[in-house]
Amino acid sequence: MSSVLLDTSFLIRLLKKDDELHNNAYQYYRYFLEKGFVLKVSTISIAEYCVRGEIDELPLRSLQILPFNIDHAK
Amino acid sequence: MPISPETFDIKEIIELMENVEDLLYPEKPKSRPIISYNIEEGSVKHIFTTSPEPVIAVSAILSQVKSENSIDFLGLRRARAIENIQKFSVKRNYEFQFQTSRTMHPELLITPESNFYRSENLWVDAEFYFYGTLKDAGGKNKANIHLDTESHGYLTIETGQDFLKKQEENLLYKEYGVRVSGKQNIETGEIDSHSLRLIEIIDYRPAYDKDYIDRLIRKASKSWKGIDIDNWLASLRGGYDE
Repeated sequence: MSSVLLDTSFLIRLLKKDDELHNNAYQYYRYFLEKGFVLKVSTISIAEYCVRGEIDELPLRSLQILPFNIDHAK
Repeated sequence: MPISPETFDIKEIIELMENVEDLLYPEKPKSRPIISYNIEEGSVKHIFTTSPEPVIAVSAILSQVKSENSIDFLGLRRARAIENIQKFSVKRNYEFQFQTSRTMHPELLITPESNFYRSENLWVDAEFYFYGTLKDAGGKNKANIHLDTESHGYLTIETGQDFLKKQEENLLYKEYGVRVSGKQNIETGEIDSHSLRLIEIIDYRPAYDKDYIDRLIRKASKSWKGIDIDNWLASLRGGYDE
């Protein structure tokens, strides 16, 4: 199954309605889900988003979370 | 009492069989060549027969374990199999000599005095997210759930009885994400599947839902009003992504 990693910039543009690339991000988000792509997001992107936004603004119900452990820090 | 096939309990034979299977076929393939078994005098000879390839691999592994005097370089299942036999040796005061058809002499000796244990410091606490279908929940002694995942196969995750008692709806045969804690090898990245404990179940419904995403956009847009995203991210990262 194909998967797509969403970065912080994509998440903000998806959720910020007045951003000039909002519609692009929205259409990609919709396309990926309707075509059965697995959407993934790292805990690092979630942490970056939450510097200004709130965690309950993120569409976590439709995303798989990738953790950040010692294994990744090497 | 001297050990012989007559004094070797079937529970010990089963334990040995499981560990030898893990040594030969650590990937646990759905179908594998037959491993046949025979027990003989001398004091007790456990003879396992299977196809040549895994025997060659195990022969090389046993030699390497002997020369390094360590099992840390092995994958989890093989390392655990040898560690289990080491514990078995201590518990029953047995000496195990390993020999394959590739050589005429024992390739590895495990005794109560040998020290074939995994180094604790290679296994660190970590947090994982797994996604799949919940196929079973319960357990007589240890309460657990079984999650069938594409990425990591069939996982058994300890939950504690309280968690299962509190569930009002039937969890079975539905898709979930789970956040779990467990041990991970910092050298190989391998996850110890016996160490998994549930932290929380995550609502996971990967379908486009217009109402859901539009509601989030309405809420989040207030947080980002007037923000130049590129500048904001560059400032947050302080140049580390350049």
